Amino acid sequence: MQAVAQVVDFSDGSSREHADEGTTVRAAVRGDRRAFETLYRRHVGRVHGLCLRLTGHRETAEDCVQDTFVNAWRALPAFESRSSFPTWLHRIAVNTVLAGRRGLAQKLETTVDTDLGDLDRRAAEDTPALDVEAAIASLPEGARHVLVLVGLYGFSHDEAARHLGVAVGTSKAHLHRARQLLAARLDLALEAS
Amino acid sequence: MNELSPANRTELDLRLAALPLDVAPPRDLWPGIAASIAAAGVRPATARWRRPLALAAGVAITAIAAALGWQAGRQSVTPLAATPVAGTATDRLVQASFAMPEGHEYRATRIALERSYRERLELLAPATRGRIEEDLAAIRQANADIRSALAADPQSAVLNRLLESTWQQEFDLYATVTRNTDPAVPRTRT
Repeated sequence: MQAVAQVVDFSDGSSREHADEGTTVRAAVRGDRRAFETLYRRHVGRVHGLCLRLTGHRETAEDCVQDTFVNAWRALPAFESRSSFPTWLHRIAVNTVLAGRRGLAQKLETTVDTDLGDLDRRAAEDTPALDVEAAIASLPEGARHVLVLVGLYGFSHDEAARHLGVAVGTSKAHLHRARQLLAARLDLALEAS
Repeated sequence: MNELSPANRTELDLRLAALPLDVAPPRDLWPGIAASIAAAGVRPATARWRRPLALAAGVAITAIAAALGWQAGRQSVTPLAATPVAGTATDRLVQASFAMPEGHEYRATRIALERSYRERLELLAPATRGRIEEDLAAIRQANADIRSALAADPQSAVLNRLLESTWQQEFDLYATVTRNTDPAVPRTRT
């Protein structure tokens, strides 16, 4: 988890970190690749977490991380300095994952068992939280996407619905279904309502 | 229908909240990213969705200049650059309504301007007319491209400003053609 320790959380209100981030982003916008590498080191953990949980597939997630940062580099001239760089970057990551999902669907179908097995092994030898990871990875795609975006990474239903090309109501329904399935797979009892 | 009990709902929320949002990739991905960036060469100076707009703006200037040049030769029309923008009621309405493109006033203004533009366009030579129509199509294409980009990033201030600028360009084109083909307006040769 070395890279996790390098990630700076800019939501903690630290004005100095905000200033550093702003300076680094402006340098990257001007074409400074070293500044962009700094941004990569700072944010790769969050982007990879997002890609990994959206795709449920390790190798695909790595591809998505690479594509996300390459796409971000190309799009940097359009970045508004008043906006939040992490939020902007995460939107690019989601778009990158979703843009590639059709082509990857078959690959994911054939490898999901392997990846779940990998997650199960990690669960046995690592933290209890990985049980939840395995349960998330086993969710149907639509439910998983909404759970990851809304339930984990703080997207609004409006944003998630736009990214996924579904109605807001559908996004809410997916989240409800995801939580039900997750509870069942984590042996959290449901009761009749 | 089965539902989570409050206690289990809390338990599920706690387990989800305990997940780290940052997950380090198993290897350093930067070398691959750096190679892709290097292979792609210098980053484009403008994003993809800006190109149609820049093109539209360029074509607009060219087309209007050509139209006015044609008019200058045939009807002693003053070129646009030398024509002060009149503070007509239409001009004021265009400026006033511009910030609310979905509103009734905008639509009414646009319909009136486009109708006037269409009528005046008929006065121009076919070649000039074609160039102006191409220009209008480019502006509208830019508008569509920006709307498409906004669907993915609706909060983008720059995209929203660019979208506004396409409406402004469309209005400007209508107004310029209308103004400079108005036979009632006296023209002076420069």
